Amino acid sequence: MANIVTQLEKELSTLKLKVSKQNVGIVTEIGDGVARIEGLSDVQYSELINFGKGVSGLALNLEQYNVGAVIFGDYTKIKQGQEVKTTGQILQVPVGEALIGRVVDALGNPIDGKGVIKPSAKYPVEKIAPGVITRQSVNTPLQTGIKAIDAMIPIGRGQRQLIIGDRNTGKTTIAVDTIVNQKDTICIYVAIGSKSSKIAQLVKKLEEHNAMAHTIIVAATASDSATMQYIAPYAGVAMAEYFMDQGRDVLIVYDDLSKHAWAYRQVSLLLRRPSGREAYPGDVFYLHSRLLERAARLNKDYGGGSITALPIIETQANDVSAYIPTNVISITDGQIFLESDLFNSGLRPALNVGISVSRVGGAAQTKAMKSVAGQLRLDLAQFRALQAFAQFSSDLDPETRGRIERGRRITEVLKQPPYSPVALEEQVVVLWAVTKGYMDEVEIEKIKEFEQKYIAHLKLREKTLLSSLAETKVLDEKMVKELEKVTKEFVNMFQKGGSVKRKA
Amino acid sequence: MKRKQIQKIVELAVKGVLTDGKLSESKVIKVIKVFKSRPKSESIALISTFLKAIKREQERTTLIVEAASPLLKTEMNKIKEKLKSEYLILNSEFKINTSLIGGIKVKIKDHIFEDSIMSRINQLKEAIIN
Repeated sequence: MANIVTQLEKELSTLKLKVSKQNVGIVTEIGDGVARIEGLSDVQYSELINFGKGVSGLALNLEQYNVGAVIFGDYTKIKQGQEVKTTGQILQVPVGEALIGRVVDALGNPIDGKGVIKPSAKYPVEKIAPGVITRQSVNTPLQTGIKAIDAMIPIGRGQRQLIIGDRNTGKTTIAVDTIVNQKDTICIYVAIGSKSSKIAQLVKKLEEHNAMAHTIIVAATASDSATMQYIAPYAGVAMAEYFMDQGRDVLIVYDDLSKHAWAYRQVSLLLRRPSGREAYPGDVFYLHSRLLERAARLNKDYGGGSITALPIIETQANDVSAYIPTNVISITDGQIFLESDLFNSGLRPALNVGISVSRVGGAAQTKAMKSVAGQLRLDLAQFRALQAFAQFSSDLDPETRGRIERGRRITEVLKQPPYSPVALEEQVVVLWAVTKGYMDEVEIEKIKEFEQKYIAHLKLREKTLLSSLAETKVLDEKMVKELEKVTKEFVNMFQKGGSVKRKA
Repeated sequence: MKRKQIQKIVELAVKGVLTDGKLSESKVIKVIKVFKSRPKSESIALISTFLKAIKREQERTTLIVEAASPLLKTEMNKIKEKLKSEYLILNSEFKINTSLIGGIKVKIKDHIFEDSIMSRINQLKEAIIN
């Protein structure tokens, strides 16, 4: 008891009690998570307002006599005529190592029942993106573990790569696969307007694959207010900025920005802001551009950290030319386009390689992958062109038939089940084997078996080859010769198993 | 008439009835008469918005002093003198507020200055919590 008293005395000895000056206002209107307040003449834009009883709000509309504010928390406690105060603070969220492995709400409060989080610091939710001087170009790859993406639509650290497609086409799966494949990268998954059950499933999946150990989940579920859904991605990126400032690499997934735009539209309409196309407010482009611009790769003078952003957009009936999709496509450095037709035909991930693109990722691709990806792209492009042509004619010359068969095998190799990322060196050797024609004689149904056994064979017999490929990330001539020899041996072995068709 | 139009008209009317922040009673009556002459639905909206705006303007220039026990006139005058340079004070009110326990709380415009025992206890509470 005496200890507590002395400790309190010590702590409070430096405390200076002052005459407090407060700026106050009166709530004149309240409803749907938005309040209109009279007074608050000194309030700043984006300043936190104290409504009392643990409820706070954010000043978003500063008018002549009124202030429009969005409310965090239970707005049913607020009454008309209630006095509110400014706080002199802008909205901040807790950041730091303590958040890793946790599920938090848009304000950084834990919602996973694992106890209180002791943050390292607090970061402002709204912050200007790093400037030109502090940045460097994207030059380091971020491996997703998905063969089709790493080979043809490579993502670099600091890049903003959009994942776009209709509902149920595997957008979230690609993002989660990428999170599962990370080891030294901190991952932040921002769920906006998702079902709570979906988030619970996601947490379970990430825990199963030991990925929660490097992941933070910021959840603004469908039952949370539009305000919380609006603020969630900014809170997520603030948490990411802390790690970037420490010189670490961060991957942030925004799932999804369509719902984020809806939430912002709701808030704006309730604040009586003028509406534009599809009732979105005029600054809906800036809403996403200022968020995605915060993804960056800092240069060495500023710690060399990075934030890679994977925003997700859900389209309606494959319409990429809708308002929000076109906005986000123009902001990002490329897009991964997923199609429901491909998904239903069994091609998973359902990537449309033709219109998917990575504008800056090529510079970040490893030399080993580059050496196989060029041929892969060419083979697939030829396959797509010939496939349509082949439907009209059954009489094809051997070369055309060969190209179509090669294309079919490449497509089969690029199929990948969820939560099973493939290491870079394994991707390179498999893609090398298929583009060099070693799988041409294998039946399509046996391609997966061939791939698995081939990797197992290499791991068993040529462990040094795979490890040196993983280390140097270069496929040099010596390695190619060695690979040719080993692959020929393996094909012969596989043939003896009776799984390979002999040439006629 | 739209809400925005009503607000604009009322703003102009309020500017007209104020001279150096002081309300002119005769002008207010005249304005209300003009508003009354409009169609009923419009006049109700105009008059109610006008009265609200006038009330707001009056509150902006009213100094409210709260204390746990009555203050001397000289003390009230001292407070007025201190705030005169920053705020326009046309009226002043005094209220007894026992919840302050001791000290005073001054409200002018949308600012509150508080040096009461209650506010000190609250500051201590925040310091301990944080």
